[in-house]
Amino acid sequence: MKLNLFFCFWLVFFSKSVAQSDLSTQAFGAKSYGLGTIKIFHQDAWSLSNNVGAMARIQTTEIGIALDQRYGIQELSTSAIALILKNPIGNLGFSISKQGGDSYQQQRLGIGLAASKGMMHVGAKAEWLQTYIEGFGTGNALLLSFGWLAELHSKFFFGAHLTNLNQATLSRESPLKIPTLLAVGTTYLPTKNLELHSEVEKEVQSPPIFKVGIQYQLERWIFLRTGLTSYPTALYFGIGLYTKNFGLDYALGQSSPLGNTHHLSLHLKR
Amino acid sequence: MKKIITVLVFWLLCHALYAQDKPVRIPDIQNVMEHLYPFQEEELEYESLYEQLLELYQKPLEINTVTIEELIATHLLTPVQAQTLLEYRETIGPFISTYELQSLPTWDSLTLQLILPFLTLETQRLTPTSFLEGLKEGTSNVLMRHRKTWQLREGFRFKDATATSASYLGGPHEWAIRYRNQYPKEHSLGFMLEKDAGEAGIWDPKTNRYGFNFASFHWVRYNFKKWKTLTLGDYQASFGQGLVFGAGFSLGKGAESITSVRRSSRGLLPYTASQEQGFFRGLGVSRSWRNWHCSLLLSSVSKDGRLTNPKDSLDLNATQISSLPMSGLHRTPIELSGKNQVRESNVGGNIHFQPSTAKWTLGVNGLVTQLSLPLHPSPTRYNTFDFSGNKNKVASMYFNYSWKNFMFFGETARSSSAGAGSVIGAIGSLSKSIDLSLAWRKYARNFHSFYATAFSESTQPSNEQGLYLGFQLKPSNNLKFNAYFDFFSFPWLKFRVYAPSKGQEWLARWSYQPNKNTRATLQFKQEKKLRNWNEEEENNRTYQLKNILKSQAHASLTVDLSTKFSFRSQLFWNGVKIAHDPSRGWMLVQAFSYKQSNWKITTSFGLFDTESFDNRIYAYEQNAFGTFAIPAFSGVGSRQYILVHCQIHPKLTVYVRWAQTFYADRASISSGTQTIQGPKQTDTVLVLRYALH
Repeated sequence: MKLNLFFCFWLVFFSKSVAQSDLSTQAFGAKSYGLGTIKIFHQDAWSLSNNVGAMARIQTTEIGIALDQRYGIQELSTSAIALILKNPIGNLGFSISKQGGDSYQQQRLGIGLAASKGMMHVGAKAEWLQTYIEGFGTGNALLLSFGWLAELHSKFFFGAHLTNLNQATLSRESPLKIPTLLAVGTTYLPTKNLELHSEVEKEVQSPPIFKVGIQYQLERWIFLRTGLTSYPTALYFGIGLYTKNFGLDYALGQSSPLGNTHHLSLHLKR
Repeated sequence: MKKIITVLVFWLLCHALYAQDKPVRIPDIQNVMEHLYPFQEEELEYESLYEQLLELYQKPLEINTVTIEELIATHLLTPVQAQTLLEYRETIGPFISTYELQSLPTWDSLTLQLILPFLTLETQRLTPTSFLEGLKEGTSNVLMRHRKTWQLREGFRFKDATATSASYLGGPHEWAIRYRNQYPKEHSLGFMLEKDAGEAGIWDPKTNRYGFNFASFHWVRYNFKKWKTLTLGDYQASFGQGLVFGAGFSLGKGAESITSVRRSSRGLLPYTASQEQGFFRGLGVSRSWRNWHCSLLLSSVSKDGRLTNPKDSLDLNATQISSLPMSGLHRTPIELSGKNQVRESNVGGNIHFQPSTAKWTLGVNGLVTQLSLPLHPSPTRYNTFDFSGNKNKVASMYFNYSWKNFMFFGETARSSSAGAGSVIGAIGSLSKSIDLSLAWRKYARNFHSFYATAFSESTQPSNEQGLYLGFQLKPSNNLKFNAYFDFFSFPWLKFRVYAPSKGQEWLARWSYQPNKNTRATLQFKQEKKLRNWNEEEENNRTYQLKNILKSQAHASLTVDLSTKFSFRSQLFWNGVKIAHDPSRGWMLVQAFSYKQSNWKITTSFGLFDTESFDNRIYAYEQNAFGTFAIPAFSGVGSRQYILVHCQIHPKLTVYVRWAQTFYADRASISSGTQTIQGPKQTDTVLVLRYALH
C-alpha cells in the first residue's frame, strides 16, 4: 500500500506539475511567479535558483527570503533564503530551500558563481538535494546546473538555463531520475517602465510549457505583473513594492482545480 | 437562366449610367465585423452588432463634437486612442480634414482604416425650428428587401388538404420594408415590417396575425426642451456594464482584445433590428439635472410562449408557459399557436451621475419584469436554478473611473432570486504600443436578468465565473498583434454538460498592412470545454464528461490591384478533438470585386470539406445593404455568390445577390420541415434603397 502510494505520488509529481511543485524545478521568488514563473531574466536574490547566469548582472550584495503556499497543503509549500555577494571576480550565490511537511520533505542547498564577459553573462551552480519520505528514509543527490543570459541589445535579452545536467537520481539506491529541465527565454524592454517576457521550458517526459509575462512599473516604487503558463494552464498576478534597499513582492496563482497559490518574497540590498 | 438575365439586365443598366460620375460610398461593415469577430459560434448575436455598426455608418460620429464615451463605444478605439483625439482637438483646435487623424500619435493605419467610415467632419447644421421642419431636413430613406430560397423546402410541399401541423402556412418569399428619418441629435423616426419565409401574410386577429409577421416602430426626440431623450415605440437601453440594461450585442470576446471587454453607457436607443425579442416597447424618457441623468422606462410587449395546462385539471386558471421561443418564426400551425401568448411588462429606471471633470461616473439601475402567465420550464437538473415564476426584479450599481492611462469599470447586480452577478475590469495602455485589459466576472447560478448583455462566455450572464486577460501590441504603424486568454468555470450543470465544469480559451491575431492596398491577417483560436460523452445512449443514465478541444485558424489576404479591381483569398481551418477522437475541416474562398463609379460587382467561389458538424465553418460574406447572414458550411461542397450593387439613380440604389451552395456528399440538405431534396441550394436577395431626401 505504502509502495503504491509512493509511486502514485511521484507519478503525479513528475507528470503533472513539474514546473510547480518539485523543489529542483520550481521557480523562486514572488517576482518570478507574478510573471507566470518566468525564470531566465531576473537579476535578484533568486537568480541563483532561477537562472544562475543572470546572477552576474547583480550590482550590489542582496539577501532575500521567499515563502510559497500552494492550495493550503503543507506538503507543497516552500520556504527559501538566498544570498548573493557582489564580487569583482564574479558574483557568488548561496541558497537554502525547503519543501514539505512531516511525512515528505525536500531540502536543497545551493552554491553558484556567475561572471560577465561583454554582453554574455554565464554562471554555474552545484546543489545538494535531500529527499525524505516517511517510512522510506532519506535520499541524497548532487545536481549540476548551468545558465547564461545574453544582452543582444539594450532592450532585448536572450537566455537559457539547464537544470540537473548530470541527470542525477533521487538517491544512490533509487532509479527515479530527478527531472532535467531546459528553459529558453527572451525579454524585451520596450520602454523604461515595461518588461515583456516569454519563455519555453521542457522536461523530457512532459509537454513543453509556454510562459508569458508582463511587468509594468506604475510608479517609481510600484510594479504590477501578470503572466500565464500553458501547462498546467494558470494565470498569475503580482505586485512589487520597492524602496531603495528593501523590496516586497507578492504573487497570486490561479485556476487550478485545487485552488490558488500564494507567493511572498522580501529582499534587502546593501 | 432567369437569374442570369436579371443579372445581365442590371449590369447593362448600370453600364448605361456609367456617365453619371457620382461616387458611391460602399459600406464595408462586414469587413469591420470580421475584424472584430473573426470566429463565429452562432449567428443570432452578430446581427445586432451589424445593426449597431449600420446605424453608426448612417449616422457617423462628428469628429469635432464627439465624446470619449461615443468613441469607445465603437469598439474600434482603445481609451487612450480616444483620449488622444480629444486632447488633439483641445490643444490644436477643431479638425479641418480627416487627414489630420493620421498625425495622432497613438493611432495606427489599421485602426484609421477601420474607424474612418464611422467618422465625419460635418458639424451639425442649424437646429430646425420645429419638428416638422426637422422631418423635412433630416435624411430619410426607404429600404425594401426580398429574399428567397429557390428550392422547395419540405414544409412547403403540403398545402390545404394534405397539410399537417408541421406544414408552412405561407409562401417561400421573405419580405421586409423599412423607413427611417433621422436628424442627428434632433430626432429619429422609423418603422419596419417583416415577413419570414413560410409565414403567411394575412390579417387574422384570432391568431394574432396582422399582415406582416413583425412590425416595429420608433420615434425618438433628443434634446427636446429639458428632456434629453424622449422615446416612443421600440427601444433599447444601455447602462453600466450591461448586467441589467444591455443593448446590442453581447459577445465580449473578439479579436479586439482590449476594447471588447468594456461596455459603454449609451442610454436610450431606438430599436431598428429585425429580431423579434430583446427590446422594450412603450415609453422611455431621460432627463438631466446638472450632473445627474435620470431615465425611466415603461414597456409592455407581447411575447411568444408555449402554453401548458397543469395535470391537475381542478385549477382551470393555472395555465403556465413552458418556454419562451426566441426564434420569432411563425411558419407552422404549431409555431403560430405560441404567437403573442404572453404579455411582458417592464418598469425600469436608471440614475447616472457624472461630475463635470468626467473622470468617473456612478450609477444605479433597476428593472421589474412581470409576465402575464407564470413560466415553468419542464424541470431538468441543469435548469434547476433558471428563472421560473412570473416576476423578476433586478437592481445594480456600476462605476467607471479613469486614472492616468488606465480605465476601471465594474457593475454588481442582484436579482429577486437572491442571485448576484458582478463584473469588474480595467483597460490600460502600458506604453504607446502596448495595451492590456483585464476582466473578472462572477455570476451566480440563480442570477436572472432578461436584458443583460454583460461580458460572459455563455449567452446569458448566469452560472459562470471567469477571468480574462487581453493584450495588444503594435510594434510598428502597420503591424498589430492581439491576444487574449480566458479562464472560465460553470459552477452548476449546463445544457449537455451534466456536471460543474471548467474551460479555457485563447486567441492570437496578427494584422499586417504593408501599404494602403494590401491587408493580411492571420489568426488562431483554441477553446477547451467539457461536454457530455454518452448522451446518445438512451439506456445509460450516467453521464461522463469529456474534453472538447477546438482549434480554429484563419488566414486572409486582401489586395487592391487598382482603384477598381481587388481580390481576396481566405483560408479557414479547424480541428476538433473530442476525447481522443480528432476531426478536421477546411474551406478556401477566393473573391474578386470590380468597382466603377456607380456600381460594384463582387463574386466569390469557395470550396469546403469538413469531417463533421462540429467542424462547421462560419464564413463572412458580402451581402446587400442592411442584410446580414453568416452561413455555416459543413460536409463537402462548393459555395459561390455574385453581388451587384448599383446606384441607378441619385436616389435609388439596387443590390442584387445570387448565392448557391452545392453539396457533393448528400442527396438532401437540412432536416425536418427545412429539408431540401437534392444537393443544391440557391438563395437570392434583392434590396432597393430609396433616399427620399
